[in-house]
Amino acid sequence: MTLGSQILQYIISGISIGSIYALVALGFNIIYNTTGIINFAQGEFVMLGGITAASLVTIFHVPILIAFLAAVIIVTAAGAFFERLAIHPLKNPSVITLIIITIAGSILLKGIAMFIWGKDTYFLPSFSGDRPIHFLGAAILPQTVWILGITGLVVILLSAFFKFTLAGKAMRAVASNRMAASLVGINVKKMVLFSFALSAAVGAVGGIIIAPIALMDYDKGAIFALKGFAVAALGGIGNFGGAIAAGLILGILEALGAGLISSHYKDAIALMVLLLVLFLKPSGIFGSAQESRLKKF
Amino acid sequence: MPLLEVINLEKHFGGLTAINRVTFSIQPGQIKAIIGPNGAGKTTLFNVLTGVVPPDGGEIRFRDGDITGWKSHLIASRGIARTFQIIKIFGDMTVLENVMTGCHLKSKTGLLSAAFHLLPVWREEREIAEKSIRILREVGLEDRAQARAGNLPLGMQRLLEIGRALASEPSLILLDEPVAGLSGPETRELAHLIRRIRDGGTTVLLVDHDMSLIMDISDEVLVLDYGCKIAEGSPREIQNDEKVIAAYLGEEMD
Amino acid sequence: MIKSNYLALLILALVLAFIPLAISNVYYLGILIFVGINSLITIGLSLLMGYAGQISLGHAAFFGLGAYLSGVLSTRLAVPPVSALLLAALFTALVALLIGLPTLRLKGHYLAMATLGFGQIVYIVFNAWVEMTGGPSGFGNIPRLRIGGVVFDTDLKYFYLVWGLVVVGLFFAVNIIHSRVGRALRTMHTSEVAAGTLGINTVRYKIQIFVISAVYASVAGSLYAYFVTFLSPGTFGISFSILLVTMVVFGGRFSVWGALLGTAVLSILPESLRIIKDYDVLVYGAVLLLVMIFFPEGLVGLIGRVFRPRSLPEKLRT
Ligand SMILES: Nc1ncnc2c1ncn2[C@@H]1O[C@H](COP(=O)(O)OP(=O)(O)OP(=O)(O)O)[C@@H](O)[C@H]1O
Ligand SMILES: [Mg+2]
Repeated sequence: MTLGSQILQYIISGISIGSIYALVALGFNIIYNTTGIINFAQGEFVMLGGITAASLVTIFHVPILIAFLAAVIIVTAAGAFFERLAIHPLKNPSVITLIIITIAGSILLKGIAMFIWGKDTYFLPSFSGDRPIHFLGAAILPQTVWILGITGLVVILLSAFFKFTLAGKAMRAVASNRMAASLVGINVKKMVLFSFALSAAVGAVGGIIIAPIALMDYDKGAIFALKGFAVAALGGIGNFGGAIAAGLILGILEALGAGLISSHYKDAIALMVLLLVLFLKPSGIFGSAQESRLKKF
Repeated sequence: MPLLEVINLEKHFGGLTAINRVTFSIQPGQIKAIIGPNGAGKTTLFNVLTGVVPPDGGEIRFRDGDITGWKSHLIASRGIARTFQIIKIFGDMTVLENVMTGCHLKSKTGLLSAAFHLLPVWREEREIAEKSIRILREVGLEDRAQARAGNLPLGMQRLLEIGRALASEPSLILLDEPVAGLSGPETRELAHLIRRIRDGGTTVLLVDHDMSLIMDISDEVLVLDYGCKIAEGSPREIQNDEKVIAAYLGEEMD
Repeated sequence: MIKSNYLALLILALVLAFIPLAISNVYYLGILIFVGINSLITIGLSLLMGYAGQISLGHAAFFGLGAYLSGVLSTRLAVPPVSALLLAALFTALVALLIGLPTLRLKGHYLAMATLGFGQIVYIVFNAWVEMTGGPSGFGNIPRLRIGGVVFDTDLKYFYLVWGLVVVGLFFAVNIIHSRVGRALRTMHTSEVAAGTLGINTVRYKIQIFVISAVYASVAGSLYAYFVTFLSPGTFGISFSILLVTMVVFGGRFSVWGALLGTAVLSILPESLRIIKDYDVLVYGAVLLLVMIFFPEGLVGLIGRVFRPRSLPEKLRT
């Protein structure tokens, strides 16, 4: 392979993993915008989505499409359940309380996964075989196409949801001004529940489509959370467009870094970016959706 | 030379102009009052003067130095202390600890010397405690020193906040509606206290809606309406000012 | 109030002095040494969480920095252990300062995010820098700690050393809490605005406390290295950082005594109950969630409520 096609190869794999990071970051943003909470359990939704779908397909021989839908529904329910159990009862929680609560949620979900699935690794077969498609000297796995397509679809559906549906508009209203939203009769608590369910669903989709490329086990959530976190910060917390751009940027950076420099430090790249953003430009390169909130929290 | 000089001060909240190019000054040793209808911008003015919110324009000079846009802890260290309209005592500390916290600027134990708690630290703690007791005596809360501050009735919480502010030995103290919610006798007590504070060498700037108190104790009154200064002068002049009367139409004047 | 804390410290020291006489089994002594090492970290962490109102998700990394720096300095460069411990603490303090300076100016979750990312980076470096750290399989032959002519080569000596330092660490923490600085920090529970108008620079104290708490963790790490004499990265990952937070919250994050209690219970219970060890993640997750929802003041708060139902809030924060 020439260096050119090799780089193309890295970029393609960077875009596909970057899409997943972007989905995780979108999940962070959905919850952050409605509640101001950074949900440290976001990565567990990804893990749960992947591992549920994988075990449905490999153990129960459920067709992939049904496994996909079932996994999304189960994880969405888990997200909603977590909100009812842990977030809903809190009155005027401090930021530190919310951080601890969502961390507790993340280890609880991880613990439940370990209880159900043990410490084994689960594998989800590719959606449509593994024969690579050749393109300018680079080999593209069919799963990559699925990843890009489904991510694109999720992004389109999400923006349609926020633009055209009543619930979506209500969530946007809560995001821009909680007090005003509740004054005009929007049930803010219900929107918080929605945001957890929705971001769990988005995380689950990410987990399912990446599962054929990355093996899944109960312990995988943290790393997705960290990467998604770095992406959300880079894109500006709360900024949806920023999250998608930052996801692709980080995915590509990481793939190039791993391929051309050292694979040992592959995971450190996103984290270094996270630290640099937090230190130098905490509102992210694309500006956070509500820079004023940044000062408030 | 004025102690505090405010020149063309501005503060906006989105489209709302809370303070509109306000200019005034305070002479040392004065008791100056700011009055104005609800929402006139009085509290906002205090917030800007003490660095709780940054100004959007204009200048603030204190003891002949520019303090415009300074952080609140730096402004405090220059000698401006304040109380709050919505009380902000440290409710989970004792009354005494509240005042001792007020002594922050006048003491210097740092983290490392605190960790070792050597003799100088002991001594400073004792001095602070004694000084705080003296201040509590001054504001009449001595016998409540060990009570939990959050459990005090409102009137005493207002006194405590004043005591806490005095502990930093400010040259200017800002009192935001100090008699709101107090009874008649309590209000009279407080008027005496404010005079004593002034006689002790601290200049007083106060906001209140209690006109008889204002007219009784202040040397000079400034009137704000919709963020603008509409009048300034002696209590007598203000009482007869037509613009002021117009601004208060519909408002109750005690 | 500081006097009652001193009294409690004295009682603790006396009890500790006699514990080795009551426990002949070396295995239990070893566990208590680990409890002591963990306590040193959680005491510092509770200063940060209970008093500075901030949370670190990277304390395992500060602990790891202390351990690896001491280990590497003493094995590869023959630096005497005590100097290595001090150098490690100094380095860790600088790193914490570097992280705290930009993030503690901002409110809320920025320190949490930064420490989480930092912790994972350190973990990756421990794994990847094989020439220095031995990589995933670790490195050993770390010499025993030696202070003057005394070599700390038995569990008994190490027990007294570690718990002696825990008592000192508690002494410092208690002093800080009951000082001008402690009062300044406690204002943050109610009103940072009021604190600012009293001349209190809250950011500065938050940074100082964060650095101090990192130093506690670093010293604990050095003690760990000289005790086990073998280091591998597994000990220093995110899950340990979270376990430390769990210990502090479980014991009661508004009191350094809570940190001690939480650490003791959560370090000893898994040793005696197999089921906890097998499902540790599940158990810790449930414990953390239940505590936060039902008794956010932790075990110490519960005990306080049983003994003096009224004066709880004062008691907790003193
Ligand atoms: N932080 C803020 N954000 C937005 N608007 C604010 C803020 N603080 C004050 N305002 C607005 O600025 C205006 C002035 O308010 P301010 O509290 O200064 O009035 P005031 O003169 O103290 O009134 P009162 O006599 O009721 O205490 C009001 O319209 C208020 O709603
Ligand atoms: Mg007001």
